[in-house]
Amino acid sequence: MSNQLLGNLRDANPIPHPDRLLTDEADARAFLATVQERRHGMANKTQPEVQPTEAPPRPTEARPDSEAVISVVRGPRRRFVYGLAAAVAVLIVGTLTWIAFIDDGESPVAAPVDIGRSFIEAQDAWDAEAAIALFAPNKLATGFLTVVEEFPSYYAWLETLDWRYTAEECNQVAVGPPVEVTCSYSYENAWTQALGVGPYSGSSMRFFIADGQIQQLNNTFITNTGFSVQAWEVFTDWVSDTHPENLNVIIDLGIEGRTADVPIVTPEALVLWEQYTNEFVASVAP
Amino acid sequence: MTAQEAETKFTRMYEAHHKQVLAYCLRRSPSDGWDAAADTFAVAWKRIDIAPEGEGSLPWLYTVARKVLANTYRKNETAARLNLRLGRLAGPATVGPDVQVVQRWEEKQLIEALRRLRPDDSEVLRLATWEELPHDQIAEILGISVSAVGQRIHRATKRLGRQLKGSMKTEATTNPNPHAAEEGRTA
Repeated sequence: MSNQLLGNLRDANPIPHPDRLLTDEADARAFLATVQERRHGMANKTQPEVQPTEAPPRPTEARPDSEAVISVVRGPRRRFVYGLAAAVAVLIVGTLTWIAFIDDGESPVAAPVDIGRSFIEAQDAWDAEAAIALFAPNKLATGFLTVVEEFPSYYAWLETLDWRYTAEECNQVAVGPPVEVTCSYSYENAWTQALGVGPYSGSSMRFFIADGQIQQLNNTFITNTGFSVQAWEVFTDWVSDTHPENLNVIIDLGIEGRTADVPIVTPEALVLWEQYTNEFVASVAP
Repeated sequence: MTAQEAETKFTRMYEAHHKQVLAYCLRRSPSDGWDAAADTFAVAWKRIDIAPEGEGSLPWLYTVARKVLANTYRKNETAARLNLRLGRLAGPATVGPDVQVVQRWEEKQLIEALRRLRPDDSEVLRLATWEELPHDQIAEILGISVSAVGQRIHRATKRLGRQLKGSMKTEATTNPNPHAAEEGRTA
């Protein structure tokens, strides 16, 4: 199925033969002209960057009337010239920083904040190995479905349901060690996408980081911003209606029923999670 | 690097890859592809001192093009001009113009489903199937590990399948009240 889909996608390539582009000489010249125009445009834009390296005007420009006059006239001028040069230098540094930002697509951030983001990215990519690698040996993670050592089965469940996590804002909130970093994030999954709801913001992770590793991680997964009512209950109700015999195979309903819903992530349960999610998504497609 | 060396390096890069870069940009944005490809080479010229040569050259240009496309907002002004050009850019026709213009229904569904995916998912699928790049080059462009590429393709294909099922169902079902489902959900 996957290979067939990829094959179909290959066949749907809107430009399967790049070598047939610009075969007309006029088109080829037109494209090259556009490139040259952009090159020169970029060169012109960067021209001001060269100017500040030139020496500022020499003080002899000031009128040699008298020392007093010179000091009055030269002082502000010199300050103006140096001020201008400094301003241009700042502008250049700012521009170069901006260009670096644009080119790299990332802004330089402190390492602990990077670690926080990396964890959320690993979670989004369902890459248990990468996530676990961020932790220190004596780690602790709360607010997750499993302990860190069992992340592979937890992440397999995340993949089955197409869970996606997007880091919204990461900030260092306390200097360490351990350094504390909080990252807010939004989430969505196959159900929410099919239902046209979410993604849901408001959740956050608090990282305690030392020696470049996560010593402790507290996850605050907020579901009362809509996910519970709009997606979780819709899905579990659907399973109750269509596959009542297996609801307790995939969800630990707890002693008091729904108040303690805990997804079960054993390999057997994952097969059902995938089957039911696919069926549910198909059933709610508009 | 002297000016002459830079010019030589740039010319070599342009001659070797400008069609692939143009195709890359047009596949993702028919309206802005021409401009984006030109801008890609302008950026490449600016960074010519760090531009890799040989096998790494094309993936690097794709990386630049990807960022340029992400920063391109000049759609309205250029769309009409580019559409005119695109008519001539198609090259020797292998099928009739009606087939060129109107894609097969399945392909249209597939492309629409691809567009509905998250950008990182659709991009990994395009790089694998349209640019037909090996995993190590995709990894370089996306800034991820080689092993993660296979994983991403796998999950993105799964999502594409789901999206496709949804869109096929939408097309196949005649709903007398298209808002019924939505009203039902929000009630």
